[in-house]
Amino acid sequence: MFHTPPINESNFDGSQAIRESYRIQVEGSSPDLSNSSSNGNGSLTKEEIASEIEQITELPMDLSRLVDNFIDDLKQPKYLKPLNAVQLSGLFQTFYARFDKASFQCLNKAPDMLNSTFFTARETLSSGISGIFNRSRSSSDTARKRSSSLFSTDSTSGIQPMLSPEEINKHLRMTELNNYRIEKLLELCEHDMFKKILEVGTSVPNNVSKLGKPQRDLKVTNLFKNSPEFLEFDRAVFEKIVVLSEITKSGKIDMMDFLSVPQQNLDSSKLTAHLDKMVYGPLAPYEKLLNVIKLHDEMTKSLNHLSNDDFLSTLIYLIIQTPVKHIFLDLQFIKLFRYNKKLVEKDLYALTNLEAALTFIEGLTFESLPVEAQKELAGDELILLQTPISQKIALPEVQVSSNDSSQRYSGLPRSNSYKEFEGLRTAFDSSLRNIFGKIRSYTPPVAPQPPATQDKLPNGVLNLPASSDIDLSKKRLPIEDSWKSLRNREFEDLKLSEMRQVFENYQKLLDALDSQ
Amino acid sequence: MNTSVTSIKLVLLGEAAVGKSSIVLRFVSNDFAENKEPTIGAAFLTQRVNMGDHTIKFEIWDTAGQERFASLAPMYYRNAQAALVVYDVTKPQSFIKARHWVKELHEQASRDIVIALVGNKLDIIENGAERKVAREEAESLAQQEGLLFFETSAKTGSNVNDVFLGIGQKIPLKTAQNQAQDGGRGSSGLRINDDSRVDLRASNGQATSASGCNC
Repeated sequence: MFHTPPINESNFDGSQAIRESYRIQVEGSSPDLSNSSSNGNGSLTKEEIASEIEQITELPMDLSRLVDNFIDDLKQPKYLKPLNAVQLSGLFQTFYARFDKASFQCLNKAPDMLNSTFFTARETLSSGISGIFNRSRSSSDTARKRSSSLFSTDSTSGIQPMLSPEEINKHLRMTELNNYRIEKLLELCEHDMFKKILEVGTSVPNNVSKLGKPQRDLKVTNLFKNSPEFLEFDRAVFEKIVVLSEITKSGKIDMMDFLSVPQQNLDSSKLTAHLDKMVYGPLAPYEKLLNVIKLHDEMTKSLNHLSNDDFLSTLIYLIIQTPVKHIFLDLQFIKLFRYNKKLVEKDLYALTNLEAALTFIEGLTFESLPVEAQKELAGDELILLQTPISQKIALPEVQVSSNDSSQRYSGLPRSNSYKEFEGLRTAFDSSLRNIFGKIRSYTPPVAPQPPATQDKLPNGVLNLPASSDIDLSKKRLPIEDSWKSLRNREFEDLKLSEMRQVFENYQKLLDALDSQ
Repeated sequence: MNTSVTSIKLVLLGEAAVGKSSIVLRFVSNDFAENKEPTIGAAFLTQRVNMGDHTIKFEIWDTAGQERFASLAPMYYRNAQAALVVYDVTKPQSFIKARHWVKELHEQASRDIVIALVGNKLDIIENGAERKVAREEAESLAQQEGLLFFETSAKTGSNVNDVFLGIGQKIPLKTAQNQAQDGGRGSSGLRINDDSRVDLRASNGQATSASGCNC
């Protein structure tokens, strides 16, 4: 049960491993916590969980302070260039992970969550793994030692009494309960964070604004302010939905029939209300996501025998029937700003369905409509339906785009080490121009480029005058900017994945030289 | 205490109406009935299966089978550790489509994805209908492509559980857990060594997918 990061596994989730190892050791030492679970039964009923969770209504002070610090940090004008949404997302995700860890510590340190001697996550992080292990070893608490000997090889002294099944069950229960608690805390965290951003506004002195001008009513659009391609894409999607909606309403096309939506008594207004709430309801990503899940659940309930054959077409139909502005942007917002680790299972599925529906609409052209309907279309409608939006507007590569199967959230390092932030600053600076250059250079709407040229053109140095500050004369090969992102980093701080990246770059360079 | 739960994302692919959801419903609730509508939707379901020391939790993602939605499939099979490619043994067209799915999965899905080819509606043949997809043909496809192969009847339940048990056995459990955490490791970004050109975009993708999703 003691997790040691494998050397050859670049993607090993160190934070989780630490957390899990730590969790098991510490739990034995918090008798107060164990007492709260009255019976020794290993499984928790829903009621028990609900009652436990209900007690958590606000963030404990220490955690709340973390949120404040993060927001203050965001407001510091320390980046030379405004961050775009994807970069912001990277910062948020890093913070979530940090918060996740901190709330775990908070729960274990202070069962009543009012303990003021809580140490901040930053402190722990800087002391790293050794800090955590030292702490547990140096403890004189016998209960802790006893339990750690059971779960790890870290036995400190001779024979230890075994834990009884009841005790083990208690541990399991506590672990489970704490997981729920942490989840709840994370929800509160998102809620508070976005509420606070709303309150303080997003103004930053010296015109080095990241989120835009002072905002009293912050909307999702503001977070995407520095990502014009998202806004444009969003606008285009909405335009298309409106046109499709009008075509449907004017009877030019039987959308129900076209999408082969099962003929059911859909309470569409009730269902689309969720989409509306997603966009105009509370700002926190989790709360927005809840609406998507509710929609998913209600559709599942109201349509009998629902496989995804029916589900997706119904969803598309609903979206077209009631156009909701900024629906695409809100979807992206959830994807970027919901804590990724918690965006799993059904949550992710419901979100993926919505994404798929929007992608379908985005890629819909008049050619795919029935022939009779094509004749009916007016000129401007035809123009809007001429090409898929994704061919006109390129979202940044880090974005999970329609025809891209890999999940790419952010090019920013998402580790938890605080030093990362220092590294980020320079990484941003050096790569930002390139990123913005990329955004502006929309791919032409006509024939897609052959992949070979595409690989180099958007990234290559050659066609980007912005990078002239780097000595072009020395170079014979185009150097990818992502290679440079590690330029100012200390070797000791490199993560395995980054080292692997460096090595692969090295190999590719050799290959390229060979082939010349 | 030692039962560790491994989550496996399993995606269902196949033409519309080949019985994708029925197979899952049978597996999850065992309540397939011709005229009885199941009470739960089958779009997303989970089911735990105990396999020795391990518990596998299948997270089953249904996809829309209509041809027009085919291009959306990558969103669903992204990061999936297993796929069920389903066809109808009485519909040759559905088998052709299944071939396409297998090819696409090999090209685009996670590299170690476990694929099971499933010929469904065996009961119709047993009731005298004509078989249109030869068992041998499907078997040879499965052999060529390294797939698991089953013929099932969601209606009678025949072979349905074997499909999932087979997948469960073939999933490398140790890596499955890592995979569940790191997500898109096996996706396109990894295949950069196939050619010698400097593939700049690929390096980008890989770096980000490595640090990307850890769900």
